[in-house]
Amino acid sequence: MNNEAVAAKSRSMAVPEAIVAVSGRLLRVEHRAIQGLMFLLAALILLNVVTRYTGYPIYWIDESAVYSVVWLTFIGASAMTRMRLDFAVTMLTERFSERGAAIFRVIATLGVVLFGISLGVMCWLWLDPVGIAQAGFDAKEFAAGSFNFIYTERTQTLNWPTWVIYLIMPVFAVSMTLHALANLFEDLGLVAKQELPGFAANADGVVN
Amino acid sequence: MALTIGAFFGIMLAGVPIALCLCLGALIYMAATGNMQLLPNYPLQMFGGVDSYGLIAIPLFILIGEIMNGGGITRRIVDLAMAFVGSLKGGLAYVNILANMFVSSILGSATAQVAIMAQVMVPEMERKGYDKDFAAGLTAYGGMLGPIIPPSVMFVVYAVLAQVSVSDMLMSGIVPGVLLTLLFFLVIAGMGFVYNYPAGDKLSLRERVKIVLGAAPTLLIPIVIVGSILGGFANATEAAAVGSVAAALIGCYWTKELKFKQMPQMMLRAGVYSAIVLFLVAAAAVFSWVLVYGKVPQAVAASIQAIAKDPVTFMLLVNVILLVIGTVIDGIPGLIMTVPILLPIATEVYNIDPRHFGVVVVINLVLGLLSPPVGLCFFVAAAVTGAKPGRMFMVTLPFFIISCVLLVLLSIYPWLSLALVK
Repeated sequence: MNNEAVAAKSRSMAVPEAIVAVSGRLLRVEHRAIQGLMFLLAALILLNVVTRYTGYPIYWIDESAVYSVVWLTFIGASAMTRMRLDFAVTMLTERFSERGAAIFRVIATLGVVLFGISLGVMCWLWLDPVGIAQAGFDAKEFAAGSFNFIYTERTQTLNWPTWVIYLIMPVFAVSMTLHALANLFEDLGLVAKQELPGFAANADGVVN
Repeated sequence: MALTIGAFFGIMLAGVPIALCLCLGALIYMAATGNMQLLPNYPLQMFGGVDSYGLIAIPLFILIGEIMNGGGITRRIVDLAMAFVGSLKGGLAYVNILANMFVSSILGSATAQVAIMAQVMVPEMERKGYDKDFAAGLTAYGGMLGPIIPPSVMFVVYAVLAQVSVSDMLMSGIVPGVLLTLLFFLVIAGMGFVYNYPAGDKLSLRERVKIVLGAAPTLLIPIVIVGSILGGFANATEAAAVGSVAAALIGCYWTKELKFKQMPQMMLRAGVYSAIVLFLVAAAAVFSWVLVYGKVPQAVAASIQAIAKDPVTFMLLVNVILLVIGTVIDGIPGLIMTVPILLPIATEVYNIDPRHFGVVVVINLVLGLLSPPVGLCFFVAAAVTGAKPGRMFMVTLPFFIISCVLLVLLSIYPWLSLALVK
């Protein structure tokens, strides 16, 4: 192989390797976020029990706990995509030869990539960043023109803008797509399988 | 709709994660029916699926299990069961089921329970001369009690899908769970007589008192969870949070096998495992949104009404359908896929109490974890002990039959599930 061919090959390999590296770093951040949200959730509910029994209930705790769980769901779902922990029906694919199983693994991972991209597109349509920018970031003007009230609504007790809470959806779409692409490059043999933080069992062996 | 169903099963069999099959199925339906105006609402529907107070109990219940696993609580519970029923003929088989019943009042999942209990019970039963496959199979049936006796991840998921009180749902599992334990005892007595099971070691009264006192604090966890809900002091979520603190304190200061530095890793595992369940619930929200659009429950209701004229026939038919589904699809995904279709028919056409329906559906799908070809609990027990899943099913067949008997009893007598529900 001449030098140009080697250079071209290394350039073409750079993208998968970069995505796998970003996905690995993102996974570490997600792990910290999951731990933080779990601590926060337990602390909020315990605080609720204490304040309720001492006669000083804090009215925004329930809503905070619910949103912590929503964020935990989507951050966790993104992490489990990379860790390949999700439930799947494997009774057919595990009966194939090694090559057949590998082909189906690529098809299944392509399904995840496809969903991640679709969710990203749907989030774009939903949050309409161009529309709100054209309205000069004036939420009321945007709502009047588009009947999309996402930037005028506030949460019930925390009184936070709801779009801030909803941001987890586009974040999830991007992170899931990145992880799914990293999985795809591994499945296609473009990059070596990465060592990920160890989990003893897979999903169906734990939560059913 | 036929295209959606075909595509859904196609991608599922190709090995796409089940949650994403539901999400992609919904997208395919929108594209096939030209309902593209629904696309901007899709992320909000998904978000809304997990925007529910009841679901908060799930991470906390899973956390209790993680803490219990690392806290040396299991061994003490097995000893406790030994003190009660260990000396009977077939003593260790009774101990297995009774210890599983105690553990299921701390753990909320069958497979997690089988993984923990099989490590302790199977080697001990083997030493006493029991057949390894029988010991592993029996432990797998004991694990069935995990999602039936509170806490239960499956009941919380069902309660949120059916929009009923999580506390009510958890309480309605108690009587069926205890009844199933007693039915298992009956089978052990019968099989012990036929196969001449060995008697366990005799313990003196002093030894028994020592064991009971040593294990008593571990029973604080179920007392806190069930007692606070039944007594109306706390809701399921608060009970779960207090239960996890109780489990951590017992593990750290009583059994002294839990270290605080293990907590971050436990939190991580509990968080990720919870996300697996919760993401399925989010996917179910988009899936049922599309089902309602496509008027699927109405179509299924029409064909079921042609066969089942009364509630009992309907419930028996549901049992058959779910037993078949349960052979291929695991518990929680099975729940997510069937409840949005079957529940409206049960409540609206046959006037069945949604909580009673939930108990039958959950027990049925749990039994699916113990039926071939995809008997997940058998696979877990096999992975831990090296027993053979196929033979495990055959040598414990009477337990499968008695579980079906329980399902028939529950289908005919709703008060069995509703006895403790206010």
